[in-house]
Amino acid sequence: MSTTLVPIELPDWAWQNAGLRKALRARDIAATFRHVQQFGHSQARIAVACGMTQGRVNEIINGRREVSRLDVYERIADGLAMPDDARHLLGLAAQRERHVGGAAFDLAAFPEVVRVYAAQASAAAEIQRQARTAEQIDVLAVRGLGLLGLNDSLLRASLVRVDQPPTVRVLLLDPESRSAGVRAAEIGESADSLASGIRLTESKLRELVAVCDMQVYRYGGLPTWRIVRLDAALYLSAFDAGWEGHDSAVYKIMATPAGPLFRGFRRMFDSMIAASSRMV
Amino acid sequence: MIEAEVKALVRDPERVMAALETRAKGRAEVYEDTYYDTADGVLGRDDRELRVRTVHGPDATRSVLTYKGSRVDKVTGSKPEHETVVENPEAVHALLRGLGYAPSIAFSKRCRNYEFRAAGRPMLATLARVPELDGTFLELETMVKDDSDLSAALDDVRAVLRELGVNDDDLTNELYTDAVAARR
Repeated sequence: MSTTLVPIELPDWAWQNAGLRKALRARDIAATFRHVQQFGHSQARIAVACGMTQGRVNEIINGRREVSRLDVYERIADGLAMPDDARHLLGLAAQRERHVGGAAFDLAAFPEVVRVYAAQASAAAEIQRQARTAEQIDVLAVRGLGLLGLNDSLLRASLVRVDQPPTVRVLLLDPESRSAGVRAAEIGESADSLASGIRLTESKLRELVAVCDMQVYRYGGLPTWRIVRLDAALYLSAFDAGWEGHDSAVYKIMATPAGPLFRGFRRMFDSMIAASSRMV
Repeated sequence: MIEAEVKALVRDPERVMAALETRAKGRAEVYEDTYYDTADGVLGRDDRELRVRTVHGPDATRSVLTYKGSRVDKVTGSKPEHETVVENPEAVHALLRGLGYAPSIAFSKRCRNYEFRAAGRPMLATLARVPELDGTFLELETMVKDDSDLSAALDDVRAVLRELGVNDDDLTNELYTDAVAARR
């Protein structure tokens, strides 16, 4: 019961010391530990970091015992938070490859899509619950009537709070764009009807300027993705010909260090905001 | 109930996961944990924990409120645990703040859970990653009614860990809360 989750951390430049690098190349752990001691770390601290007893560290430093087992080298490298080039001098694989298993393992074992819903209706209760406490809310929609534009829309009640008002960024389709005409035809509506729906949502969101940080933008491209982001959770669905956004299946995507979906959609949203005109 | 739990750093996550998948089907979940303490940190000082956890899973999102007493097994850090499902987590967060508790640390944990029986006991294995910490961790736990069964249960848990390919040297009793706090 000796492994610590918090290794000793030396400054990066410490690992560039010629004497230390020579010691690592020779797999001389006694000399390596003596270098670590020079940074003020006691034998006891080294012992805890490397999963050994203090007596064992003392024996190694004083040359009464040598390290020869690969798993012990691994533990020492981890305990001293060796950068990859130092690990390589010791003859070990890079740290991330060893313990984390790489991005492919990471995303297969801990996928960023944590849940799939058949349609927005089945995700509604959860989205509503999470929206009540979210600090940042991003919405990419066509007209956003179901999400925001009507008094009983999914997210509307969660924007009016006693404390901690959220920052809300909403991207709606530009009612004057060519894409608005294309989208109206795709769902069998008149262009006028679609455009007036968008304008209605805009005006209903303008009413909320006093209660939260409300930003509403118009985008011009063909609607493809539908996004509701609530802090670190992103609900993703799609628009297609004859396919309304709320009919699409919904993926719940959680932010993860190696996950491309959350990262990519967030970046896409930010770049759409940068290219759009702000209406509210 | 006492949670007889052993935690380890996993050196070969692919192999350990493959061994787990032969025992049960893994369930990927994301935990969002908020730990609470008094203004003067009395819970932390006494090695006690008060936590609201929201679990984002493939079938449901659920929340639990957990209180853990101070450890009854120094080596593994096993603790008495009281836990209940929470219908409305915002209400519990507000309730705790109203009672004078404040969030002491919050972090997310990405988990892959396996439930199976071993050594005649129901066991829960959790392969876990915490974004702030390097490495993959494995927690293996079984619940026991009282102290009298704790030591036998921990022996069983350690035996199963060895079967899964986890070396005794890689066991750890450090808390994620301490490790994350040290990293921040």
